[in-house]
Amino acid sequence: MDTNNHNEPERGPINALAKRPEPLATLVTPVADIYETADNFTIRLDMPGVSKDSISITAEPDTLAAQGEVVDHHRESGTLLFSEIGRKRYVREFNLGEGVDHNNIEAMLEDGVLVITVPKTDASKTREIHIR
Amino acid sequence: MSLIRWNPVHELERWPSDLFGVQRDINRLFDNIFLSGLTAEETMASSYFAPAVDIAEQENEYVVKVELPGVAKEDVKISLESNILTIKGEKKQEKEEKNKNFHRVERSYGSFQRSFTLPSSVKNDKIDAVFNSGILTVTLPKSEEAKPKQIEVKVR
Repeated sequence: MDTNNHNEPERGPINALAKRPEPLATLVTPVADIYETADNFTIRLDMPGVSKDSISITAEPDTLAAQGEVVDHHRESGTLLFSEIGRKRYVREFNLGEGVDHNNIEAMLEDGVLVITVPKTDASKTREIHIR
Repeated sequence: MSLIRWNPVHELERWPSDLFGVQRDINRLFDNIFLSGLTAEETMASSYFAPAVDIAEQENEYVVKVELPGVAKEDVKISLESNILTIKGEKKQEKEEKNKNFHRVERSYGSFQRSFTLPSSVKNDKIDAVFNSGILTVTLPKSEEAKPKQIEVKVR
């Protein structure tokens, strides 16, 4: 039951000092797919176990940074017999080039995949030219 | 005709003008590595990956967690055969948009499979599986004989 200690209330100064530290989250670079359509760039990042609230996405004119943390889902799970997942924090940064509209970036989380849509500026959109 | 020592680097340097012989083999190898020259179906069929897994033991059950981001729940199959738990399935590429031009493909697609031998017997009919934010959680309750029993020791 050692794993449940984090949730116990602290009793007195000695207990507070003896409190077991939180295990550190491992920094993980999430794998990404990037594709381009006529109007947008889409980035898909695998972030299994991440909750919507823990995700932060920041866009600057030339960089886009996305991060999210896996909530410690083992606290209630007893003794770990086999562990490959662990506690982790996903961090990834992308350079934004010319022709993207960094003010209208949208993101959604679906089945552990963070989908970020970066629209192109009108000038960089693919236009089809009709032959008269 | 004089004998010239074969230099693999030289062969590569001639690419792409010489597409015959050894070069063709090299190209085929590279095609396999970079998954070009294959149709989407062939790529799917040839790729394979193993998702990360955690297994925890509680007093009355085993909890298995599998990282499967972007996998549809219909595409996952869980089976248990004489204490061997197998989780397998397929991760399909998203197909909602046409005319995609990929700049980067790092995520794995295709078939996956993991198998584990459970340390004790479980109740086959009580296995439960939940899919939440890309993590599959399988709960396997231990059978009665596998549960820990409190043995009272009498002191005389």
